[in-house]
Amino acid sequence: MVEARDIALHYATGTVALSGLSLTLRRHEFASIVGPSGCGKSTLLRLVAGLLSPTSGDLRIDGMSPAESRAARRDVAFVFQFPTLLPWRTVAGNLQLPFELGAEPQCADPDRLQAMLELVGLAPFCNAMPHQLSGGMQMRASLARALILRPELILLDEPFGALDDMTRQRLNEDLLALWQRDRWSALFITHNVFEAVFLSERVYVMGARPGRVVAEFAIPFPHPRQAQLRAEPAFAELAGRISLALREAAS
Amino acid sequence: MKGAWFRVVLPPLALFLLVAAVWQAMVMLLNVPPYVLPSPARILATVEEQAGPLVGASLWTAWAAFCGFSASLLIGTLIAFAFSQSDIIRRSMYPYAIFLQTVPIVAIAPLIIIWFGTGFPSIVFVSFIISLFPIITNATSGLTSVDSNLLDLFTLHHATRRQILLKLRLPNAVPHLVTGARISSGLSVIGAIVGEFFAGYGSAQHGLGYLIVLTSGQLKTAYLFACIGASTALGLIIFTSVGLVGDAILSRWQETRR
Ligand SMILES: Nc1ncnc2c1ncn2[C@@H]1O[C@H](COP(=O)(O)OP(=O)(O)OP(=O)(O)O)[C@@H](O)[C@H]1O
Ligand SMILES: [Mg+2]
Repeated sequence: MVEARDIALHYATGTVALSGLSLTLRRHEFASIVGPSGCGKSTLLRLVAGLLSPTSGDLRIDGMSPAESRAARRDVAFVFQFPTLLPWRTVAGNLQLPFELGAEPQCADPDRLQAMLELVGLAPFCNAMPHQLSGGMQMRASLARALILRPELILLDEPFGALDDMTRQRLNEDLLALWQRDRWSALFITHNVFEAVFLSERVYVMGARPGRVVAEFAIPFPHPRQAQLRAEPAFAELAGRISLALREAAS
Repeated sequence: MKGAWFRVVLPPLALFLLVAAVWQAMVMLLNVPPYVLPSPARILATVEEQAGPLVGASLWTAWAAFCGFSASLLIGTLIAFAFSQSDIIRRSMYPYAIFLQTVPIVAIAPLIIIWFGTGFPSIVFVSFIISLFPIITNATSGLTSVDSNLLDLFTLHHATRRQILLKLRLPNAVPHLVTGARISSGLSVIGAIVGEFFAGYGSAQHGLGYLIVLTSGQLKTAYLFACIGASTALGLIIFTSVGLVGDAILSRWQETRR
């Protein structure tokens, strides 16, 4: 799905955000990226989304460059660290937004809207304004907005970073259920190793200055994964190994 | 609820009555001539006596301020729109917009009279000039200070320029515009009164500013106090009504800032 070969990105300010970064995201795979702060994780996602172009190296999405992929309307969905909902629209209005944008705006199918709201547990709040929702519910709305056009690739940039641990764990389980249902490919950025292990089939560890992939871990736990997985020794052992790799990458 | 109302209204009201009482006593005891400082009772009597002219002048000034305010709201928003659409326009013109903020209106009033003559249009123009700047700055920042993640989201969904404007920038500007309008509404009253100082004579109808010039010239100090009271009340009424309309609009836009 996503194939990055030796890519580099230099910002106009002279910052070398990424250099020699390679990574592969297979179709239908859920992969996480962990790395120290400022190592270029967001930059990488923006490259994959086509919001930035690599300075050098080869980045392919289904064999196309991100720009070609964008032109071919193979949309990628993006979930930001904050819900980034339009504060002047209701939850349902926010979910309609993706349909309304672009050269050929469509009308949102009300059934699909309703189904999506139910899927993320927001059906009773469809007419609520974002500020009336808790942080966790706002994030659910943000997820629903990303999923509503049924994209094949979803990029998530620390989506649960601002939530408390309980809410985060619940959202992890719900996100995984959604993924199991539709099997989009996902690149998920987080600072939380446990979250990465719980969600992913593969975890990449990035190092800083310049940003690159320094380690890769396959996560063997079968699906569906339940909350109890977090208590298993194998889970803790793997999370521990990744934490160590992360510590090494940061030093 | 009722208690809170009392807590808000009672203390300033009590102070007002106290000051009025002391004032009345001082004027009577020290025998201050009424053209220097009229007693509150005398001012009250003048208000009653001149109620007709006072209300008429207030309405006329209110109308001038309303016209000036509406013009600044419309034109200020259009200018802000141009600023938000083109960096070149903003960079080249913004320094001159600051001129509106710093120019002493007293200094260019003669010029305005040369251009527009005395009378209503000049008064509205002064009110417009004085109340324009807050609209321009607030609307511009509302149109340009859009969450960069939301801009990315719109870009990712192939939003057209028009869609970004209509569905993102304009709604984002509304709270800013409300803030600007609030500041501007108070200024527009001041502008109308200052305008009447210079250009308010020579027509059948006249406003509070003209009345202030007239009464001070004739040493009708009690009447002058009544005019000052009416000007203040007028400013307060316009400021509060714009504030209430703004609150009604904002209740939709309310956002818990992260
Ligand atoms: N628009 C930009 N212009 C110049 N430099 C930038 C820009 N965006 C990011 N950088 C720099 O590039 C480097 C990588 O930034 P990036 O945001 O990708 O890191 P990150 O891994 O997402 O960090 P965090 O964990 O804090 O989110 C940082 O040193 C940052 O200062
Ligand atoms: Mg980041």
